[in-house]
Amino acid sequence: MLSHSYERGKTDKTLFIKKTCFDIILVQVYIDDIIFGSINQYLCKQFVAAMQEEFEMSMMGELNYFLGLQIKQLDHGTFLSQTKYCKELLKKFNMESCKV
Amino acid sequence: MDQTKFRGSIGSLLYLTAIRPDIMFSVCLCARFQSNLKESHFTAAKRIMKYLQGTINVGLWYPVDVSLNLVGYSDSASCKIDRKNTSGTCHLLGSSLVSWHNKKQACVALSTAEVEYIAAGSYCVQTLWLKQQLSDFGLNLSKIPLLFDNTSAIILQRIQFNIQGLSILKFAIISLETMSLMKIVKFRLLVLRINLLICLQNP
Repeated sequence: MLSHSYERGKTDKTLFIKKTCFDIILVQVYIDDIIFGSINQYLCKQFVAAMQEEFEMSMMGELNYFLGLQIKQLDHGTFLSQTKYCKELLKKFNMESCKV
Repeated sequence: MDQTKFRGSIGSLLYLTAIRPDIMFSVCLCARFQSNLKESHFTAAKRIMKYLQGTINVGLWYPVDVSLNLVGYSDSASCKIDRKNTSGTCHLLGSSLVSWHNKKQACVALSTAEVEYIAAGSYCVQTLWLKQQLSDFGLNLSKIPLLFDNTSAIILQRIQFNIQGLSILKFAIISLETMSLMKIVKFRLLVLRINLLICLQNP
């Protein structure tokens, strides 16, 4: 990552940042999962190309499920929820049919 | 009682607090009774799950096009059993909730001003971390306002008094004083109680 002129975050060591004149790309690594985001499409494509060159990885597309978090990206904002995880939890402890 | 099942449920619920500040306090309270649990503790954990069943679609909303002002709130609530208080803090970036913290204080405080002061101390720790994190994103903030609802605690901060005894209180005072000297935080009195914090402490 560092050879591709990414900087490591000062507090979060698994966060990588690359700044160009106007744009910024953020890459967050969690063990074997990576999420990244940028306003500039070109930076994203560049990052994907660089990663696929070095590792065998699959591109999952737009972020909507990560570590049990459901992420809905809408035009006017982002909504985070754990509905799926919550349902699994209730099923695991046989509470899915309890009264509210 | 099945200890393993209880611990498993607490573990799963703790992961759920990643984006659910509303169950933070109750889950953390249940987590304290893991070694010698009784039926009542299990009932409490089940009660939380019942609450989850009703609020399964609840989540956090981060709207686009908001100002990037970081504001912090801190408050505390008392506990009559062991006289140790719980402090709660949260940070709002614009209008979205980015960080929250809920922790039982490690020492017994003598007055509400002290309690609030310790809460503000833990707020400072969180603020410093957030400030660093935001500076990575190219957002340099100074004078981050902290709002809390105790006049004496604010006066305490202004007169810079010397306290004997409690090391945690000392730490809170030192961290608050250095941070206000460095102009990282700014203190303001919150007249209206913020519902969010009340919900953090009494869900």
